[in-house]
Amino acid sequence: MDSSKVLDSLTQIFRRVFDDATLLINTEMTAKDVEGWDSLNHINLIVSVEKEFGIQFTTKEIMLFRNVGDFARSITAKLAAKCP
Amino acid sequence: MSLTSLKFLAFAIAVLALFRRTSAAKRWVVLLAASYLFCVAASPTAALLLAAVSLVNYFFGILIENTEPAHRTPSLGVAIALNVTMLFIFKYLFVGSIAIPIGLSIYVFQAISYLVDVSLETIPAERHLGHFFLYLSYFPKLLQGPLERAREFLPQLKSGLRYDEGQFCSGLPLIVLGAFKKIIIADALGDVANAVFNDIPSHRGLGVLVAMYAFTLQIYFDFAGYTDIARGLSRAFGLELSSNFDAPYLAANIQEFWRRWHVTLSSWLRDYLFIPLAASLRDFGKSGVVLAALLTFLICGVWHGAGWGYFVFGLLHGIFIAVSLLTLKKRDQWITSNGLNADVVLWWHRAVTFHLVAFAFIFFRCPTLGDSFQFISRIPGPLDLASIAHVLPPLRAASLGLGLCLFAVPNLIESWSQRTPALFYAMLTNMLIVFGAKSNVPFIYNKF
Repeated sequence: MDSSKVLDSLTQIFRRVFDDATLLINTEMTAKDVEGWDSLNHINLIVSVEKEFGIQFTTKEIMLFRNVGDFARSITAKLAAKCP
Repeated sequence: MSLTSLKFLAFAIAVLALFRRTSAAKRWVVLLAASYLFCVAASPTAALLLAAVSLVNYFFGILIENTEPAHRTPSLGVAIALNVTMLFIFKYLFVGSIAIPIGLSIYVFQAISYLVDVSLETIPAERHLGHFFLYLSYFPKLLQGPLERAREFLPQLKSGLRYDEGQFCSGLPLIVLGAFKKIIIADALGDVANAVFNDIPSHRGLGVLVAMYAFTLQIYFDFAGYTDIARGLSRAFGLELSSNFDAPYLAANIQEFWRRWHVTLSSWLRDYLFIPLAASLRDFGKSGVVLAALLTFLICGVWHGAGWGYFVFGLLHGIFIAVSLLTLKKRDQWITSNGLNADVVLWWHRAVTFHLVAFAFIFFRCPTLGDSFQFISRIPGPLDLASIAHVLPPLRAASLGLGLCLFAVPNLIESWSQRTPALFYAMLTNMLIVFGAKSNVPFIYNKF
């Protein structure tokens, strides 16, 4: 899956987690830019992303996610490793 | 040496004079020497411990960086265990028999965040021994923080410590405001709270309730006052410290409260405790997140000290947060679907949150659990303020009232201090001189 498709899928997950059907995301967005992106929703996002893409993040990776771009890159890399 | 004492004022002026005369490249030496002098003045043993902890963490930082990322866990684990052991020995094992070394809880937590960040490669290990020692010992933040992250503090040392008149002048109002918060407001509120908390059996009803509110406000103004002074003074040294408070008593729920209260501690707990815990427990769904929140706030409570009161304080906040995590979204949806007046709902939520926080602070303030339960049992009772009416002399009560009004009216300080800054700060300074001549009351958080 290429990075633009990952970002599209990620947008749908963000909309579900934050209950906002019009939410638009970009790679530079951080928790400060999305209303309700607190530590609980951070974990909800992780769980939803793992389920959606069938991947597993390490605790270290979860601690390092700072913005949407970090998420998208990590997902793309994991998917590439899964299906080279 | 309290930050509101004349001794500290003289010390700060002397350090600033020396700082200005020293070349920018060597100014860190002045601040490091001042920091250790400040620590030695409190206790030479505490200064030795600070140096030992700094040295150990300095070498562990480099060791972790030099180890392959996949093999860092053992050295990081040993380093964290050493830091936690230090905290455990001095804060819990010998509780009551020896004095807690000053700033221990603050610099140990800063050291742990530094080591984790080095391990995660979000910052490089600090190679400059003096800069690293200054990061942990910097005297304005040594006693009560803010808990600065290395990635915020160390780059400021690297870019050279400038003395700038504008920066210095921007810090002065913060120092005056901080001293005002502490001396005029917190200390007067403290007298009201102490009158009841130190003699619970003699009070009942409204007097007890007023003491609960007084302590809730006192601890905020006391801590926020310290932080303002530390931040204001640091600007004179060309350093910007983090803001620790963001109108916490205006929070509309307990999660928001912790995003506004003691921000550098709560964000530390979030990044280094809650997120790793919740991530490890995420397979258990909501129960995992609730358990992570409970554990995080229990540790937050116990971080303050060995008493059971701190444990219950943490437990209560853990329960509040857990309930909030589980119900907040549904409650918000219910309010929206029923079309309730948003302003009324907001102020109702603020009032409930404030009272939850105030209730938990009873356990924080009382020396024993027995005292806390006795305090709570005496809240129901007559609407009689006579038992505490005599605590503050009229002029001091008036200055407290004026002070509280200054902070309660939205934007009053901002607009007044911008329109007539000289008059505004002259008034505050005069109030400090007239009403601040009382004996020097230590800051509450100094003991943590």
